[in-house]
Amino acid sequence: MYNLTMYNVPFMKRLLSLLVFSCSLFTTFAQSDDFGMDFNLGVEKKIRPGMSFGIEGEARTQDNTRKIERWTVGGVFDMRLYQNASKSFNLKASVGWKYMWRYNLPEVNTKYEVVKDGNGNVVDSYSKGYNDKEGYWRNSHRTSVSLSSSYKPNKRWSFGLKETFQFTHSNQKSTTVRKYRLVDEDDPDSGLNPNPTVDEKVYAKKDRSVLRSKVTAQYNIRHCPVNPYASVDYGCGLNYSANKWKFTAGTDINLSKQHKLDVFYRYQTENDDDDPNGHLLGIGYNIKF
Amino acid sequence: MKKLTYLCCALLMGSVLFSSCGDDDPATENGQGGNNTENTDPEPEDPTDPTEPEEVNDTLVLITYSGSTATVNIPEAMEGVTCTSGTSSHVVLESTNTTKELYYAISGSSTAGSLTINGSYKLSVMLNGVDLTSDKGAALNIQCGKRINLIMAENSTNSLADYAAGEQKACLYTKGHLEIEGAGTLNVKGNSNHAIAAKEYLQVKKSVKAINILKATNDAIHVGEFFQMNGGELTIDENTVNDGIQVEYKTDDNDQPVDDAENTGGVIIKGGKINITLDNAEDAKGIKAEGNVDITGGTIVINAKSNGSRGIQTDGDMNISEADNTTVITIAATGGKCTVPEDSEDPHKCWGIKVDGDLTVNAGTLTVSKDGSTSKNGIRCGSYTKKGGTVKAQIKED
Repeated sequence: MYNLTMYNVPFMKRLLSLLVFSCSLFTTFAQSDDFGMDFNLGVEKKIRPGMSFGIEGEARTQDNTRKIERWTVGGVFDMRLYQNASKSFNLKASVGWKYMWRYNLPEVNTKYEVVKDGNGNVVDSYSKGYNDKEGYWRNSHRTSVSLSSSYKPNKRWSFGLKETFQFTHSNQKSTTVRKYRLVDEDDPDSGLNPNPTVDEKVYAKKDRSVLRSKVTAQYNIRHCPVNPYASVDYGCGLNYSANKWKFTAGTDINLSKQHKLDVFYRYQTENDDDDPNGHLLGIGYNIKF
Repeated sequence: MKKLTYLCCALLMGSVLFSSCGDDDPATENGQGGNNTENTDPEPEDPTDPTEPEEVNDTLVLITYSGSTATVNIPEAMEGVTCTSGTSSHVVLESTNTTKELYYAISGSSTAGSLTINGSYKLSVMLNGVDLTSDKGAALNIQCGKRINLIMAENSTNSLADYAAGEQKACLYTKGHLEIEGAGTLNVKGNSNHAIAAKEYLQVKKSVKAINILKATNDAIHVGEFFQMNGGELTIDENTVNDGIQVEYKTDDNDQPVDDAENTGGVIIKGGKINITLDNAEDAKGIKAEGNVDITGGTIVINAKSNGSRGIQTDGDMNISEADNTTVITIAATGGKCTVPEDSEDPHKCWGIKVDGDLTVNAGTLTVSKDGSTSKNGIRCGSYTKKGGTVKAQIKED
């Protein structure tokens, strides 16, 4: 059992300061990109050497942490396929499943009227009102199969490569859209009609397959429970257009042999309806027994 | 004497058939129409050929109306056709024929008459100056599920009107692929529902002189699959209560569109002239299609006067060109907002053209105006592309 007090207290203070600074910095970033937080709790049970089963729950926020973005529960089964004699190289296969409740934020979109003449030239343009779409919850099932390898050239460094095939099925869902339009659609000065047209927007069920590649490098600080890491994750949509990069920097903090804290910052380069755009600060707690 | 009567009728029909023999088959022209049965069937016997009098007798049924009675002459040699109405002016013919095309020639007049033909094989009905007003249901009700040629004798004027209190679908109703031809005039009054309704497609061929819809309590022309016009003049006056030409997908018993290449839900206009006036009902459409509207020739004049009306409306795309003939489309959209909208939040206004899909103009002249100037309620469409021609209208894209 580790004891935090045995470690360098000034270092821990610096780490805490860094986290506080990061939070304030990300809040600033969030003016242009979204900023969210991720809370993760995992429990892992070793079934036998090289084989384990884990369950996890996750909550993620969006809209500058004002709204919940998703709740997730799931499980994963890991099995070691290979380990060399020196234990410096590992090959592991995993199968996982998640059930997600995802919240899609309300949207307000201004609608413009563009008037053209017979030759296609724009002769007028003005706002004709806006669409007010209600937020909605949508549930999804996600299964994944992955193959991961790790290599430890020495006691301090470890490098990992993980290839994951991920399939997500989202159920059909609908939401309400209120369309506010001009009293006289030809007169931009006529004001908006207070009684909107109410439509039902239906999102058909969808299946999405993604191939993800993740490279990780981690450093084990001598006599310190903090193991900082950095990773790059690239996701490529197989049946839809998506090229998503995730750059993550974080650290594992070993509280004891069974308890581990994970704190990370992540930046995503592309927004889609799976993840919020921009910055994510995450805290995870993992228990092994 | 009997043979002489048949011979005279045959000669009369000959003039009808020859008047339309130069007509193209629009169904095969555009690749989407055409009854496969028609194209693969053996060449029908020519009932007008005097060298084959026995064949004439075999295929021609003569129906002559006179007041409250009708004379039905079914050739003795003809098999499978029976008249179940006796001498009543409400003639009902049942046909079990499935081997060769039969011809039905109708003439005379009745203010309490109708014709119903039930069968399962293609047929032709010749209108030799008939004037029928039904006091029971449809004036003309033909159900065979195959190609139905409705041929107007040259320079003949034919008038059909149905029973105002009836429950029929139309004054002229066909369950089959209706093809109208012949250099005559057809006047139709739909006193109860549609004026002309076809469960399958309707084609107006080049040889047609005129079709006048004088009244329709619902749509003037209501069609499944598609509507195609190659020529002639179609006039739908202001006494039509609902849409001028409405085309819907043919549906099955579960109300789902039938999977068939001909079931396009579209409107194809290659030539002729269409005059439509909408002044009798709000929210009416001059031409309405669930599929695409393709205009490759012809003159179309639509006067959309009623509130919330649309000169042309389609759920699909609209394409205008001059691939077949000169195209001139003139729409006056002068109606106001719909005061009795589909729902209280839908007070939509009158539009000259409303296209849910995309509008492409390749050639031709298109004018949408209000009181002589391009109006703000000209054209509403998904996207607008002009590759040629002249377009005088204000266009708003969704």
